[in-house]
Amino acid sequence: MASKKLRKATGYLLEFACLLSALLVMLTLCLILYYIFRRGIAAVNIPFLTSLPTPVGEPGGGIGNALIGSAIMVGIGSLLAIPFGILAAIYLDQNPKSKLAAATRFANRVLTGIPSLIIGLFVFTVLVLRTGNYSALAGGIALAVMMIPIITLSAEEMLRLVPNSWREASLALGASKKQTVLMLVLPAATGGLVVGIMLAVALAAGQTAPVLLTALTSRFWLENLQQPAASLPVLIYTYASSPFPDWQEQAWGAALVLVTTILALNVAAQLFIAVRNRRL
Amino acid sequence: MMKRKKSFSRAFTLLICLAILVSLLPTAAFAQTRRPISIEFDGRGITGDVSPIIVGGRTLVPMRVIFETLGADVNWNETTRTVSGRKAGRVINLVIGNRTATIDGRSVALEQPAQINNGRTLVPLRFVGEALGAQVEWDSARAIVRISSTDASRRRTPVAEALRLTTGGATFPFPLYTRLVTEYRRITEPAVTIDYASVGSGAGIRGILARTFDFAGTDAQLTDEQMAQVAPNQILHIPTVMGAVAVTYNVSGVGNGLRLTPDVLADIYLGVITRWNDARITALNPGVRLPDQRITVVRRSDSSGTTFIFTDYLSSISERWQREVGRATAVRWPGTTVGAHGNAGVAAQVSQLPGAIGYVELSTAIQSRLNMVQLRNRAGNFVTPTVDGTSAAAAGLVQQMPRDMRMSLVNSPGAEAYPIVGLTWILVYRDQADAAKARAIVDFLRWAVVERNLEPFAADLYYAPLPEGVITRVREQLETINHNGQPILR
Repeated sequence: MASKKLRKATGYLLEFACLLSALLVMLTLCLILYYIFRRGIAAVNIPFLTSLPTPVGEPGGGIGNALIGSAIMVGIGSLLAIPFGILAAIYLDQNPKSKLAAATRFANRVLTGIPSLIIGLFVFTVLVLRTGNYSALAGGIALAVMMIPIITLSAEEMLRLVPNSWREASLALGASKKQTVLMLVLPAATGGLVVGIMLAVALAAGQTAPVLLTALTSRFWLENLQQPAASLPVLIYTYASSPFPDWQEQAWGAALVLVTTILALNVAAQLFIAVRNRRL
Repeated sequence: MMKRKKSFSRAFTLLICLAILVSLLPTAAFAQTRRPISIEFDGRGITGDVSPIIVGGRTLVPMRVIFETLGADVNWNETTRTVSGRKAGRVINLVIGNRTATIDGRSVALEQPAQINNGRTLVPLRFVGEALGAQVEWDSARAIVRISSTDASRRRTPVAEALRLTTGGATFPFPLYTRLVTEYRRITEPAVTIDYASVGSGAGIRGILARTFDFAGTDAQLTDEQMAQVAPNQILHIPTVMGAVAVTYNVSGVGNGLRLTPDVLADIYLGVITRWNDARITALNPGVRLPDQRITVVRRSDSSGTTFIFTDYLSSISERWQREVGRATAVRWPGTTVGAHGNAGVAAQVSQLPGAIGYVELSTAIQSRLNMVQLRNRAGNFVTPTVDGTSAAAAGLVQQMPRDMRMSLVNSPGAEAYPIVGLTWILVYRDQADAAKARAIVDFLRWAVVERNLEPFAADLYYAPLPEGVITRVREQLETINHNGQPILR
């Protein structure tokens, strides 16, 4: 009797601890969002989002070029990383026990553990030093190198969640391997794939070091991909460590824009998945 | 009757002749006595090696004075005896002694031709000024020619096609450079866009050595080892402005202007003096109630030009500091210290930590409203960091400036000199591989430093302008920049 009560009490206690932890995580996120919002909202308006930075002491000035720079570099990163990542994941899913699969998994895990600064240095050495040119393209490539392992590993997990019985059923009905992968496994796993991709995009959008080392930064509009490009994290880093109050305020504003954009992308992805699941 | 009329008309003629003579007299007198005429460009006096003269009511000036003030390239052709100036695609030709000049091939009549006086080529000031788009006014009462720039006269065309330069380095002059590059892009057509990334002096030096930067900013001069990585005299040090490093503190009950001597400051940073009410500090500050509080030494955690200037100063006044710590953009700090990132980081730590002392560049100290130490200089005076104190430091050392302009300005002997002062440089290759880039770099540096367009911006941000003598040196250095042996500036 007593042992049953004790068991129940332990159960409640653990449940409570879990709830508390969950709330704590939520609270931290909310506090960060609240603080960034409170400090940053004063700086954010339409001209702030669309205009170029101004020099110290000149009023106005915005983050237009940094927004575009970040979007373009994350875009290049995604364009390179998503196909590579998903294709690699399909290979891993189809040949889970091959030696190459084991090696790929190992390489990807190691890659996710490498600090982003090192990846930046790698691309700097291979591309920037060799061409003598900082560029948006190099920035995008550095971000792609960061994104590929995250997408590959998460996509593999997601593909593996598709039950084997489904695949067997598909093959039994006479579908080819290609048809099974394209028409059954991938559609069934789309939700999870999108979540993995969003995670990688959010991570890439917030990177400072790899972008600064490869795309440097600029205070002007990007005219082509061979030029240095501004990005939100580098702008925040530069402005936040400056002694000027108006730049510091703009750093908060830029942080708010960065965080809300990533949040909005995540929410959009979740909504997309929810709508899709209802249809299935 | 007739006779009277005749004599009247004779007297009248005489009178007119006299009037004409009188009216001519002053100009003739000017031409002979050379009453000094000064020239002001946008409110700033400009000097040439020969003073302007007035001939026939027209001011003539040495050709270089007017053309270069307005940012034009000027050439002298000995065989055709022609002065030709080029700016923003416009070509102006003047032939010695010829009353017809041409602007872009179109003839224009001159009241006074260009001439040679004492071996110097003189050109009519108003014609050249206005042809280059400036406004020229003559203040006869004070004998001043006022030239004012207009949007047209500010326009420059260093390169034929729009061009982008990738540069970066020192954080210290970054606010100034943001203003310069924005303004320079506005006035160049086709536009020259300069991206300057504030990545720190160390990264700037690495960038110029690896040739990933077209030019680099640094507060620390290249070391001999770094110079040895490229061919001798290949990298030029072009100073742009000077700045002071302020020693700031946060001691309860103590206001601005605490007095310190060099040895006390060094001992605080060496960890010898650890409390604010140390006898050596109180002795310097009679009447100031110093609390029994621990001194928290704040220093930069990142590699920094400000650290270089500060440790350069400590090395110059303390043998022990030089021996044990030395001067560098990052050093092994003795004792217990608190590290902070960037000037803003140090300022934030000092204002938040009671008992803190820290060094930041002057504009940060002023922006963050920190208390600043009055430091005893070499002449024995206690000086607060100011722009004037910074200029005074340079004035005391200009004479000793070496050819390559790698020099330290700390601990200057001037009576008014603030002792912790440094130059900030732009590093640029002497032999340039790309002709268009070379023209853009040289024109930018000439516009900013030699033509002093950075000065109004510098003053707002508490940087001190370079003394006249240094600007002449900068010009000489810029003249050595070349592409395939062809100098860019002629």
